[in-house]
Amino acid sequence: MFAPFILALRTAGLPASVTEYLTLMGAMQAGVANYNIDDFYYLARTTLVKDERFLDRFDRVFGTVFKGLEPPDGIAVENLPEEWLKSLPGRKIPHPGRTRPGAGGRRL
Amino acid sequence: MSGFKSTEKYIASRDLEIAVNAAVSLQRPLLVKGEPGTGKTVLAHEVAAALGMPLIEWHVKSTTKAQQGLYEYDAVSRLRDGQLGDERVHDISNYIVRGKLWEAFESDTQVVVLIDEIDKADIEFPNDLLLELDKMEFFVYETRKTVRAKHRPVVIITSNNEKELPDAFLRRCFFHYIRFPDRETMELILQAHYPNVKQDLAREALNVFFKLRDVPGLKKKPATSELLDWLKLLMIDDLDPEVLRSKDGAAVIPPLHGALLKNEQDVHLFERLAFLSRRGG
Repeated sequence: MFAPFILALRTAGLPASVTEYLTLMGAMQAGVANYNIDDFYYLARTTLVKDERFLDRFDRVFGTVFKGLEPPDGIAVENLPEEWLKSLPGRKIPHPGRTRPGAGGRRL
Repeated sequence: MSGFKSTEKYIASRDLEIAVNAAVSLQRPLLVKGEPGTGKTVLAHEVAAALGMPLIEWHVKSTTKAQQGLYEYDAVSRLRDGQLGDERVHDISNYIVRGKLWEAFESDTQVVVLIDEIDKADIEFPNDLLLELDKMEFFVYETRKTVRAKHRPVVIITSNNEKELPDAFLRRCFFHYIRFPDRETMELILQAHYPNVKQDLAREALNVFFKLRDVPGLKKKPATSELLDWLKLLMIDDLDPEVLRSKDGAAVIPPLHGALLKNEQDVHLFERLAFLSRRGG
């Protein structure tokens, strides 16, 4: 039942993998989240997000997929200290849906 | 499963509790990232205390190799014993020096292993430990034996973000980003450490502290440990909280600021800003 969630995360550019999906299922089975939506949000976040720069994107996808379920106050990206974000070693954060080389788009 | 919860000395948020409990119950490493001074290392101590397990600490430096955590072969001792004609020389296992992970694997009870500041080491370091942490076993080439964990240890890894960690490694971990504590959490932390602190002194100190963290361009922002040290000094000197209060909104140079600002340039910068704001006001 959580497959659409993982797919939505991947569409949004989060590198969530099958391994992590299975880990999430395993943790649910082990009763870490205990049928509590806040706990589930935290559990999904700790399993699927491995880079703090993806936290805001994760929050957005979570909100869209689980409509009507408000995630608890997450770490909004503007709360991350500027210097910290700048000091992060360079990794390209993919921009979902912005690359359409075939359609005459510019590769960013 | 005995879960992990906030203790008297360590204030953990709910998301941290979930992350720790997930790592413990699924027996995967927990990767903790965050600004310096947000309590990453202390977290491992608290988890060990809460779970009632011994803690094995492995502090990583720039020269640390993954192999050193498993074992090392002491060739020099063996050479010396060979020259002296010691009987020990015939058994190579006498010269295998056990590393921290071996120690953890051999332990008769489950332990917590802290791999501190993994980003300090070579970029290959996390990759070299992938299999060992996944399977919790490794092969000793010299003795042709496999060392297997008797009880899978709880592994906590901290990173200061100096280097990017490999994806394959990240996929196997749970991840937690420790935020810098907000004001309310900070008040709880102060209460936990100094229950006898005067309320008004703590309030003024926090005002100064958060104002100081907001000063743009500081090289090293003061963090929790600096605040705690500074407040302790203030308490020892029994300072009047009035000294910390800024008159007409201008920034004051806090007494004993050496405990908060550890960088000469930062002190200069701050003094100049204070001077400017005094002149402006």
